[in-house]
Amino acid sequence: MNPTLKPRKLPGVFSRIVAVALLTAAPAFMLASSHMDAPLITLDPAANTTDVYAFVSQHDGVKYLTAALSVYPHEEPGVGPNKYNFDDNVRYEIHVATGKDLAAGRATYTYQFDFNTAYKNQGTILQSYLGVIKDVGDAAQNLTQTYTVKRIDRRTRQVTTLGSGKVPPNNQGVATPAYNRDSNGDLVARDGVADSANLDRYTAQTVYSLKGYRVFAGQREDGFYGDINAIFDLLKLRALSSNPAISTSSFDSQAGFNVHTIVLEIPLTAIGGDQQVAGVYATTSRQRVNVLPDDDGRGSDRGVMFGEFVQVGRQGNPLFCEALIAIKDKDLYNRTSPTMDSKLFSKYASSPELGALINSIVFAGAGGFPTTNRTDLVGIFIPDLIKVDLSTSAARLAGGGASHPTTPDDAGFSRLGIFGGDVLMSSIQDGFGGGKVPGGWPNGRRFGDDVIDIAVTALVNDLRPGSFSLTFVADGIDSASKNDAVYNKVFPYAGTPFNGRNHTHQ
Amino acid sequence: MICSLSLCRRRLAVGGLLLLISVVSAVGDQESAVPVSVPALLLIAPTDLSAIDAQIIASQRRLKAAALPGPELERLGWLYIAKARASSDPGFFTLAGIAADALEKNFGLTQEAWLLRGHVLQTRHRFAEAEELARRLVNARGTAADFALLGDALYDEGRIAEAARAYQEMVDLKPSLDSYARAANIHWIKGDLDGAVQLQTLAVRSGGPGDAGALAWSLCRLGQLVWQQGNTTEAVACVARALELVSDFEPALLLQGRMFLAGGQASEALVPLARAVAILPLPEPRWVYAEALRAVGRISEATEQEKKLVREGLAEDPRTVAQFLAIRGQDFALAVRLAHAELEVRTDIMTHAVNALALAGVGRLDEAREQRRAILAEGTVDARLLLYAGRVAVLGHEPDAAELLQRANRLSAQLLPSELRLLQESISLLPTGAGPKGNINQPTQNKTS
Repeated sequence: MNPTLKPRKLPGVFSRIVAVALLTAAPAFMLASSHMDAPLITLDPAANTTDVYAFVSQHDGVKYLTAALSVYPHEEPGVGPNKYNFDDNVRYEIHVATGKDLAAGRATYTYQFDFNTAYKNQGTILQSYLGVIKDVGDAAQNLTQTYTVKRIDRRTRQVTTLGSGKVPPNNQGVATPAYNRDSNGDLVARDGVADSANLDRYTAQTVYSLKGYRVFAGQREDGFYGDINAIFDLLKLRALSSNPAISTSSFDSQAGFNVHTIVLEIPLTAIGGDQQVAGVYATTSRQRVNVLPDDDGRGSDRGVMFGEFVQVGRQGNPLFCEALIAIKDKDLYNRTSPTMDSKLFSKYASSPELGALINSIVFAGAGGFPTTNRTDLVGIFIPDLIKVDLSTSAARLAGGGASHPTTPDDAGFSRLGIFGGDVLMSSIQDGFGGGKVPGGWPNGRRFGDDVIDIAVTALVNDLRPGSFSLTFVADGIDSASKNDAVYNKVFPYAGTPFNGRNHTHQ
Repeated sequence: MICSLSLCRRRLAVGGLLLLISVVSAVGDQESAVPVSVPALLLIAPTDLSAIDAQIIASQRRLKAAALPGPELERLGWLYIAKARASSDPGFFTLAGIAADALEKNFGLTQEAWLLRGHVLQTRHRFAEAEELARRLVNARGTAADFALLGDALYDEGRIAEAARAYQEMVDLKPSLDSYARAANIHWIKGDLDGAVQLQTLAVRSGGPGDAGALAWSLCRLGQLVWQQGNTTEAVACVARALELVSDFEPALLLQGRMFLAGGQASEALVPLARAVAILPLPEPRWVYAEALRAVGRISEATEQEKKLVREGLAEDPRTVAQFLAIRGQDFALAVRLAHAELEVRTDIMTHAVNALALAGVGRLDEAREQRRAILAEGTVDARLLLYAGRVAVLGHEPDAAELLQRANRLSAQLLPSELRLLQESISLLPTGAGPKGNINQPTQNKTS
């Protein structure tokens, strides 16, 4: 084989010619009469977590822990609306660990979201919209999703139904003008706002106050930003390109995409108060079914039985599963509890392969930072819960940048968190000295935290107590230094969903 | 000592940046080289423009420059599987098999190679080999995909109870489109059509546009099931959605053609069926196409398709050739030989059914009766299976012949015209008064729009 053989393009039929030459018989799959040809490994977008957020928030003088879970990676705004909804068959859960449960990775409280879809009119091809929607759930909205929220106290097993809510329609454009500028369905989505009174109508109508909590569930713009393409393209980071046209450009892989997000504002009194660090993670689950029809031998009771929910997705800190856990263990991560992280996944934090690759590829082996025994990273990721110091004041929030005319970032907000000088004062831990703790991730995670820059900074420095050395801040390392949309600085914080008719990707 | 952040923090100096740029450039110069351990055939870029092709091209690019090509090669192998499913081009299964071989031999990624190779073997009907690999995987690690592969091999070998156990392990580990679809199939084969529809609907809802080929397949399967329930409208909607996801998706075109034909719309059936044959010129689509051609009076074209079906199908899908010959009453001897040879490969219900029909055609009724037992053993409710079992029963003067043919008649919308003729002829052999009521030749369902 010639090691310098350059690939060439061939007509599509060539593959078939080659295949016939190589095989004696290659029966194609057909429907089940030929052989079992069901797909083997597929994605599960409705249960596929993209991000979890958790931070201290405040309104009306009261502090809360705000937690959010997003699903549906790369949700294309232009795709037909019936294709992106929360799945009625998925149980979405946000878990909070307090006290001894935190170190153990065990949920103390679980907030469970179950969805239900109904149609006003099944005798039409217009699945989601029968007309222009004025109010959520009005006659123009055909497909309507509702949800119930339950709180489970894992210690006492007490289950409390907090209430229910409606999911606002997806932003299609003409059918959903209120999401968009000038209430015009042809224009781009509105910016996020700093005052609840200025929230778009649909979002405002679907923020619910339930027994001291606030809750929202619906389509949002994807608040994560980063040049994922370059990171997984052998770390060919644009900032380091010799081509100025590339090195000065930015690229957000998530630009123009939506997600579906659940946001829950939890009163601190409900989880033991503010003098503690709490941990947050989220899971998605689907139900077991009986493969064999339930047959009592008399021909009766045949059919499908739905069993307990089985966890199929899990997320805590950003990037742990995506960037640190090896492919062979990702499925294992998704179906296990954080209580198992210390035993199963500690090695990925302690000796992160990404750190070794950065050292090798980006620094040619001269990075000078440890790639093993990273107890600092273990402290962040194991167990994989987002740890939030509840004793601090509310986190500073991102809007549309420091100089955005209507929704500027809070003063002192830095997307780099502590590496950008954004710190909070804890009353329960010394932190980085005198009670200083990061203002963003890994102390909680806010919308707008540049988790890639923060993660790379953590990886390429030695932040272990006793050998602490911060020599390089990876500011702009992936050339994506801001979100492509403006966050809301009020609940539900995540930005307005992109318009299916008018949006752009990078 | 914890150093103050404001003193320690320092941005990358220009000199350091230049050093990094030179390092990255050196890496970039190697971008066009092909790793020796990766077969060149896997790096030929596809020329189609689908999303999967874009992913294949991106994967090939990463593979060429990867410091550790193994994981990327595995990813590429599964992309070839996805391409094969979406395009109906079995050549891509071959490429996946080559990737599997390279994974094991050149990179020592044994378990990853086994799963990929096992899936390829399964598609090539080498079920015993697929089972062996699957068992090794289950013993070594036991993931949901491993149990899926095991269950698939056992299913196609006719070992339904064992397959169901493997699938149960799979769904218990990971409820998903993949596991729900398999559970649906077991419910179907056990005669629980409603349960199968419920589970296949769940499978469809668990999928997303990112897995267009898998979702399109699931929709076609759901379409087939609801069609069997008599819900043509819903079946048509499933097919339409599958074609929206993957244009020219052969299983969808085939199902669409069958539904048109069953609805008495043979002319309309010709378009999707001709397309299906153009994409995948295998015995089954050719057979259905030929039936539609005959129905509109284009006999010479039909005959041409049928000749190709037999000639080319002997190597590609001998069981369907045997089925065709037995239904048409042509060359029963060849049908018996082909069907019997297929038993060496697998012993699933349909293979037994084709054997039974072929043997009955040459008057070997005792052997046909033996095969017939397997057809009905699981309680499957399927027009073809009931017809074949009923045919054998009526030729052998069995007491359940009338009941079987009656049940086949109720599902006669699922039968091709030549199968309907066989059904009618079989019913005519029943003792007087024992036949089903109603005219079996009239379509019993709505037109397919």
